[in-house]
Amino acid sequence: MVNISVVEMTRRLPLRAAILLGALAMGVPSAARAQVCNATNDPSLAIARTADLQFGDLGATPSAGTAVIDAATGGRTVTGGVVAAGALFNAGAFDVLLCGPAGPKRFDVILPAGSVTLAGPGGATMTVDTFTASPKTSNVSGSTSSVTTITVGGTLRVGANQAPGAYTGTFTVIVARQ
Amino acid sequence: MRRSGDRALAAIAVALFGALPAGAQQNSASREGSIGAAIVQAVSVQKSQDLVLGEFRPGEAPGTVELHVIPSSSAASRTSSGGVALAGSAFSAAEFSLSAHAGAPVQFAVLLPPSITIQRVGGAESMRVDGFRGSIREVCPPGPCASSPYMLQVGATLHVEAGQRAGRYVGTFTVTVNQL
Repeated sequence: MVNISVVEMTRRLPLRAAILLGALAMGVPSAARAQVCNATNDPSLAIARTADLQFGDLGATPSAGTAVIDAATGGRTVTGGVVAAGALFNAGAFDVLLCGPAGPKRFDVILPAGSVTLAGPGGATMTVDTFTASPKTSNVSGSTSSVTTITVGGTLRVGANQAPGAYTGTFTVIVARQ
Repeated sequence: MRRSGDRALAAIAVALFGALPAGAQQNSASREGSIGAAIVQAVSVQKSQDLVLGEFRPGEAPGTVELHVIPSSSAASRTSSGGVALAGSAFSAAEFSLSAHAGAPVQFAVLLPPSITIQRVGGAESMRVDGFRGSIREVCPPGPCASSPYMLQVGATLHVEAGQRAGRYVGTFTVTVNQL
């Protein structure tokens, strides 16, 4: 059985983010999970990751193909020579909380415009592109009192006879308050 | 207090996400998400026996010939329904030998076609085959054994029209096996 290992890229985090990740790891209830609006937080809105984008187990064949995660449903479809296997896959998810003074309570979601490369065994790679967000990417209604969940899907490009193994990568979601 | 905090944050945001447009730092935030995927091992699949539905007589009503696989056994059984009457005694489930990669537990994902069409040799008449089902069994005792210790048996359901023209019908189907 192949273990799906999702490794988080090591990077320097500002102290507040490091504390926040620590709180997540301890299983703090979701209401207190991520975003606190104060002078030491982002001035107008905050975003926290609650789920990774997981394409799950896939079988490669002599024909290339794709696996698509639907942002709205978290469902998975495959095309071309890609064979769906296993049942562990899901959309990425982020919680957004608006902060600061009252004003238009709407924000936009900016997803990677191009493709993101996933690194696999022995230098093998795959790419993910056509990122999608649910409920939408612009004019999303937000709130200063409760989080708005944005789910993210995408299209994974699997090559012909893609090398078996675990592949991981990262992408960045930007939320901008209007 | 407040202002200096804001400035410090803006500096962090720029350092981490240099692509933010100037002036937008105050109104945006970003977060990195991970993406995971796993390509599972391909398995060598060798056909050792064809799927043979055998002989039968069509009737005045449509019917089916069903080839059943029996879990943990190399045997298969055959039944008919509707106007179809079985004849002869030669039939077999398809059999494939699978070469699993080392690792325990060994799990396979088998993909069978939803339906195929078989055609009369020397003619244009056809019949539909669907209801493909499979069963995998280990063919060696626990401990060291041959390189292809697993057998996949595949059965199916043949749909026969009333008065189906006599003859020999053939077709092909594809099985895809991945090891999880």
